[in-house]
Amino acid sequence: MNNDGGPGRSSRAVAVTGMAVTTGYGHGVDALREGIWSGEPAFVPVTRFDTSRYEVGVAAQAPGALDLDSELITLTEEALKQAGLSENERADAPLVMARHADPAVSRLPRAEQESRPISDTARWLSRELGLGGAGRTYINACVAAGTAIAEAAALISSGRNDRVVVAAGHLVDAESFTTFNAGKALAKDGRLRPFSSGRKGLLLGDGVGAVVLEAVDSRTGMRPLARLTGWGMAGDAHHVCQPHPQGLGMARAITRALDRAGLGPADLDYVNAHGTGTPYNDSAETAALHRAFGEHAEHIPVSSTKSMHGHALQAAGLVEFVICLLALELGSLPVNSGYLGPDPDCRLDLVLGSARQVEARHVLNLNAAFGGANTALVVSAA
Amino acid sequence: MTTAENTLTPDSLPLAVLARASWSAASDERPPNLPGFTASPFAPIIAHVADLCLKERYKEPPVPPERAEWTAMVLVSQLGDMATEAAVVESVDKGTKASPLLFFQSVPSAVLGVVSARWNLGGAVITISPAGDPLTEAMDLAQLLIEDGSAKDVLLVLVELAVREGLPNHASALLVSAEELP
Repeated sequence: MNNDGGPGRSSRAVAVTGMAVTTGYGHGVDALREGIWSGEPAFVPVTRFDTSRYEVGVAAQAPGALDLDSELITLTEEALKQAGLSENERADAPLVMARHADPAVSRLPRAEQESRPISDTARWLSRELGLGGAGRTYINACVAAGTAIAEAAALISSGRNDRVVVAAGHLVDAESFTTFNAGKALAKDGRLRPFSSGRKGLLLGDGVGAVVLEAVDSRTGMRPLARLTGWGMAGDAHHVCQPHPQGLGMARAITRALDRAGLGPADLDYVNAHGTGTPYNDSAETAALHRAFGEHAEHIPVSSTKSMHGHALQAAGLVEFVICLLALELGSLPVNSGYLGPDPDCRLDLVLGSARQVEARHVLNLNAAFGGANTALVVSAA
Repeated sequence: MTTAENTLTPDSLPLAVLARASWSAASDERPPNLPGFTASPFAPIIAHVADLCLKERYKEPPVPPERAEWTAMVLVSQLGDMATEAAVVESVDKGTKASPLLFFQSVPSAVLGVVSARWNLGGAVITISPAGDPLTEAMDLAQLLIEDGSAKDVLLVLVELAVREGLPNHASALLVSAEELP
């Protein structure tokens, strides 16, 4: 093993070959691209359940009636089709997932709960889509999808698998509204304003999606959308639900991801930040970026697209990973919406006003979660 | 119980189990209360069994910095924290006000913030629901994290709450490494 930490003993390059997503903008990557690059947030009054007992009644809720399982199977199929996998290649690809426990299981009699583990969804999806079996289901909240993508990359990089499918899902529901309302985490002014003065908190958003990761050159006819060149994970060792105020864990995760990618801060063209719009998170994340980037910290464009699609919790990392792919594809960086003015604790080069045209080569996707978890993914142009 | 033994997995590095601990409601005393975690025994059990395991190896906190920074934590549970989930669902169904504590208690990995802060562990913070045998999956993930360079040591905590008679709340923890340490 590598005694100094860092990339392991084998390192096959990882390509992204398929993506599909549903967000508050509706079904599909096209809807997400159009919505995010319009700069208009997807927040609307929630109609899926009664919000009268909560302090906030808006979220980035997709139009129409959505069912998580139906969206997951439809989107995963779309991602597989885009990747162009044969039947045999599908059967070779395990499915790694990110989601929260299904509240419906909690409503079952206790005796029936044992037969409904959280990993059931991955098992069902894998079986229905002819995939190579259910992998692990990540349930570590806001870093669940980021961690699942990192595991998929490690499975490929280490030579264990040629390809891995990652699926993630969170639909705005009464249960998440209840806990976030109880924690007074929702923005009472109905806007999620990352890194801004006067930010009030977060808003929830729908997020369901799938991506296909493959070893570069593992088959003929592959059409990479981008490469996943770096991934890093680290903990804050600080608190149950507050980030380390100096961003220690996130800075470590960023450094680990950049080291693996063989890049330095100056190579980065964009950061899609976790940016929840809460006072604690955004100042700590800014501290992490300064710690990891040093003199470059205020010269790398940053935005949190949660300001438009909301916080998709377990699926946040997947939605934002897809946005990073789109930023590379479009040569355009999405805006940090909802901005009211500078906060001295958030000194960053924020993408404000409108999308910024940049021929990006390498972008960074960040997420953080309760328990002090942090993930960093480096996505590079194909 | 501390047993340094090799766990061989095909085609991969052998992992050494540096320390292990277990806890069961059937035979062991109730874990110490954990401030802020009141709706469920899930988090107190995890913090307790993790402490027992780390104490076996390091006697007392913190873990030396050179190892702490690369010690990952992996929490493994098939069903997750069903007691807290039940409290959330009850609040929704009855329309009652939810405790503010449910905000973080409903996140199964939140308790790992207690363990990592106490022992100064700076590695990855991961929580999974395994599709296969929990211990096999846990060891496989630990091996992957170490081989991948994402960790040097991994603290695995496996926990399930009781869902039927004869199967009480139970948990186990293992500290594993690719290195044989004195």
